[in-house]
Amino acid sequence: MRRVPTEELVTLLVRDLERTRRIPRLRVQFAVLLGVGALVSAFVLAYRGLRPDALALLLSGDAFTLVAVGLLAAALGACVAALAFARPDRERLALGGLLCGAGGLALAVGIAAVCFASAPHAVGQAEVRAALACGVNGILFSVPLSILAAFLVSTGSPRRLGITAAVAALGTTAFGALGVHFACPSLSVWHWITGHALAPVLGALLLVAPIRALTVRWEHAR
Amino acid sequence: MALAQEGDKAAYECLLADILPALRSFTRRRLGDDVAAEDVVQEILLSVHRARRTYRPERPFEPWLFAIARNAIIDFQRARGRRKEEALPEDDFLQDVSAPPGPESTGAEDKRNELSPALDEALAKLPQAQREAVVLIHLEGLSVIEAALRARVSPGALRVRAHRGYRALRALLGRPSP
Repeated sequence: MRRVPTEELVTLLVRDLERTRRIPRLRVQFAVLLGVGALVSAFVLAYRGLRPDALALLLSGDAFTLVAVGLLAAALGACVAALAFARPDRERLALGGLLCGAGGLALAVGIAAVCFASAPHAVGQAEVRAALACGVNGILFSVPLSILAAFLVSTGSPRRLGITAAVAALGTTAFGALGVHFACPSLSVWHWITGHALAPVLGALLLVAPIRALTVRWEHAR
Repeated sequence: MALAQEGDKAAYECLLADILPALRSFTRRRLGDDVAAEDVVQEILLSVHRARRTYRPERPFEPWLFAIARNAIIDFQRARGRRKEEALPEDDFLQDVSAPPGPESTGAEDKRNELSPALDEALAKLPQAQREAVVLIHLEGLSVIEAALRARVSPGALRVRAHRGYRALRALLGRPSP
């Protein structure tokens, strides 16, 4: 197979150069994602209605608060991480965002699970179905946000496309799950953990392939 | 780089010429192997070219460049072992199944026209990405770098596609793997 000398490669690259649209600032992209994410959560609340005791539960500092904080951390951290992974010089920020997002969610789920273990109750089929319904709801509501995230990531040049897509899916689904968490009337800690807090994990598994495919498609079109 | 993003070829050429010695020294220091370092420098230049839109002029250039360089070295080191398996097999068998060249045949187009019906049919059965890699390298005679530029993928990805394409062609043509 023929190889080209490096100097010849430079000539080839210069010949191939075209005017390119510069990637927007990370903070601008994050603000856009955050704004649409807030809209998604607000839409879920408008569609399903805010639970009447939401504020009281949030201030109680128990498992409900932990899951809410975990989901917020996942939403913010993972979205920053996905956008930063698309820029070569922002990998440290990406890892920080990922640690904050995924780590925060894992910690919140862990502590909430300990709360559940201290006062366990039997989990019936109806509760499993309700948790699944909430999880799927959270994922479905966040699909438009995931598409937007794929578009924003495609404006950059992600090195690890699979990881970037998974992180984007985790962050965007967390926004949907956060809306569901404040709308769902359930009082079961088990339901909060499985139906709300773990929805982003399920979302990451389900949406990683479509987000990756969209990112590749849009990145190649640029 | 800001000028290169605007499409200024002269500025881009200056920039690439300026960064080349630094990249060579950086990769040689890290790899301790001049031949491998030169390969990695080429990968870095291609990555810089592909990722040039991610540079923001208000941020310093060196961290951006050396982040790309570091990543290329890491990828190279990770792939070093794997590369032996994924190295392109001898594609001589394609010569065997191609029809013999005619007296006036020259160039890629003629070579394409000279394909035996069996190879032509087998090529048509390949996935688009693999077919493109095989055609660019085997029929058009491009180097991996040139083919990667044309296909807008990394040289590594193109090598893997071509390797899989050759393997699939061997299977389709009933030729045993070497």
